[in-house]
Amino acid sequence: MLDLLMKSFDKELSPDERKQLEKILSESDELRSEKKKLLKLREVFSSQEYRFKPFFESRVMNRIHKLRNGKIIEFDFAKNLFFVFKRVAISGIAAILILLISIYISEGSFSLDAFTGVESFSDDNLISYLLSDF
Amino acid sequence: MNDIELIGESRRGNEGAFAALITRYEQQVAKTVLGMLGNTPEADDIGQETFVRFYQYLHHFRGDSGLGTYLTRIAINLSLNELKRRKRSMSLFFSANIFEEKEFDQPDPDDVEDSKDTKEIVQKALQSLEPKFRSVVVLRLLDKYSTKETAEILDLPIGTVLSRLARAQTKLKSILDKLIQ
Repeated sequence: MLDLLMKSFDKELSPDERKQLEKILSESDELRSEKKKLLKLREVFSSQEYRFKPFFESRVMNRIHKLRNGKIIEFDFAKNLFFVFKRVAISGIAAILILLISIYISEGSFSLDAFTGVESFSDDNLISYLLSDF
Repeated sequence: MNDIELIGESRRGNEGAFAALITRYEQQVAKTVLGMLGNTPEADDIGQETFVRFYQYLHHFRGDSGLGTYLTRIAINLSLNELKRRKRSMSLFFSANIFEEKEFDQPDPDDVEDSKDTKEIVQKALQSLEPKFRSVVVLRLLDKYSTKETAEILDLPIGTVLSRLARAQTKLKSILDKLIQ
């Protein structure tokens, strides 16, 4: 019956349940006392006042300002990184092009031999080259 | 100005409008957060974080639910995460068996007796509940949401909310026996 009593505070009971509860409430002092306690308990909780410390709104707004500034700094960092990367990338591509041109001028082709500087490059001479005692 | 108008102004960068929303909902968020975490420094931090999150997602707020409910949802989730974080950090220092799932911590009756005022007694009783029970009590009894709204905010079936409420109330009744006589 206590379950039904508790349920009656939080959910609409069916007509049968309501009748049953009313009947038992009228007969049982114990259940009436429980109902009184539950009502008091709810009253105690619902009358509670909660507040943050003073100047809460200012603290939130400060945090939002910091967050915004942080985002701007973050954005600037990303922009600078991209700018630096662009310059490095351009220099790298220029260096590769110069290297390719110099290889072509000196060797006359872009063959593997021209790149490695070893004539008639094969697996055998690679192995003997690697195993050779310097 | 109503909430929708203030949100519109805030989206256009009017800080005064957002500050007005904070003032309007500060107490409601305080009830949820302080009810869940007690009067601790982290509670103030979580309260602030609730509004900061709302600010970050201002453009995503569609108004399907009221702003109060929306903020409560953020506040309760952040509070539950904070309680998990506390539990994790405590478990680094103490043996794991201390933190086995307990539905309720029995507060020291002398502590409750010694509490200066009703607010403190209520707070102690509330903090003795395990978070899943506490969240239901905070939303239903402190914030006065309906059972259906409580279930929606916590993403739980109504039956679960009802059973958790019943068990939590039984416990609270025994702790606060003298207060509710």
